[in-house]
Amino acid sequence: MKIKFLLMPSAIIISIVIIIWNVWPTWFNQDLDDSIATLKLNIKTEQAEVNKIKERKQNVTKLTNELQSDSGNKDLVFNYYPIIRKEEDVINKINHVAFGAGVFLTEIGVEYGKTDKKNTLEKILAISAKKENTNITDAEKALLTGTKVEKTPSFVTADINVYGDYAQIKNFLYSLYATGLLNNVQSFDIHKGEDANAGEEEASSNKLNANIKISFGYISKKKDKAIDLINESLFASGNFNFDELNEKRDLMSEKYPNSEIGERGIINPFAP
Amino acid sequence: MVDINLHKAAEKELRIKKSNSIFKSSTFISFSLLAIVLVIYGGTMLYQLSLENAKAELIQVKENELKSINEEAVNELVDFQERLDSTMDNLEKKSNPKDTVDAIERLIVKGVFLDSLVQDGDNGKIEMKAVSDSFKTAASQMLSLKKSDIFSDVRIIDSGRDDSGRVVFSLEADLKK
Repeated sequence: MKIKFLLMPSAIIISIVIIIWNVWPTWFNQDLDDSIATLKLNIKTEQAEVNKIKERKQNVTKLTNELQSDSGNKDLVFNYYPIIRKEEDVINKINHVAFGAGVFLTEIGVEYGKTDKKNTLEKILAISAKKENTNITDAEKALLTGTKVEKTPSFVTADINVYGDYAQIKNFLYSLYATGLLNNVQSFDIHKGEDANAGEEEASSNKLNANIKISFGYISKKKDKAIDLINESLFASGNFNFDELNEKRDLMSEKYPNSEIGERGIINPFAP
Repeated sequence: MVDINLHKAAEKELRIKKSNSIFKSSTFISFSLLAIVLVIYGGTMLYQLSLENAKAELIQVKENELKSINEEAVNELVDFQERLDSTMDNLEKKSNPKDTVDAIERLIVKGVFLDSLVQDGDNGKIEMKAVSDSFKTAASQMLSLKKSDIFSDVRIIDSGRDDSGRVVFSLEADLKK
């Protein structure tokens, strides 16, 4: 009979204990990783990410189609900022620019440059360093198998000496600026001087010497894991924004031909 | 005659019966309560398990979606966009040497002739060596550069007369960003 008296209070206490210690936290404690509230939140997040990835995959297809259907913009960008070093084109274009401006090209020195703390890309090529992508979640990071290697732009620097009058040199400077290759005029020095080959009469005229240091950039193609790239802001939409490109198209378009091999093969390579 | 209180006896019997029914109902309620709580507990566990399974399934779906991305296409597109961004960045930031030359043309004072003009893009400054007929003109030239909107911190490096008596002076100035 006494045990029966204890049954009800015991049942109530056990019920309360089970509810307070287990059921309630399992439902509502968001600090627990496996609580229902946390799981629901996680599911919502995961579902949103799955939807985001699906949407971005669709955008990848749309963007690929856009780029394939309008290859003009692609060619323009890849010609302006090439994949490989093209010093032969650099020399050829400088020669054409000099010819067009009417200056006498006396020297082109080419250096294969490297950036350091003092000579940053900002100074040499007038482009900003790429920002680290911080949008990758931990779950996505866990899927990464390789180490991401960020490609950095490379460049060749041309040290040019020309000889001509003021208007010609000014024209040469502007034409160099708009060569149609990613470049930056780092420095120039225009001074009165004499051409060693010029006669006295010409030397006394208003001829000037100019030394110009200009760098041309290139960067190899990207080769990263798709998971590293899918969060790029590019894939948030299904179109490229070519507004700025259209505004600056003139400065990017090629005005001078690239170098060509021409005729090859000679019996005596030392014969003039 | 023996006096028997029948009323009290009946009352006692009724109390015992009542207490028995309470005991019986309290047992039922207790077990019912425990059963309900256990059902809630079991239901919670099952629901939690189903949510964990749903989460695991979604993670698997996400991994599969990520693995099925066309890596070559994504690289091609990002590469193009980065090339385009760098190109626009370069076209916006790179200095046009013609701007400096045009500015000097506008700011040169009558009676001053340049011997040399140097733009050092790395350090963002220009140096000019000039010739004038007097120190007054050299000072005017300095003031002209100071009043311009593209040069700042104009400094005189050197000034003097050459063999033919002309004033030769060198100026240095920072290019405003």
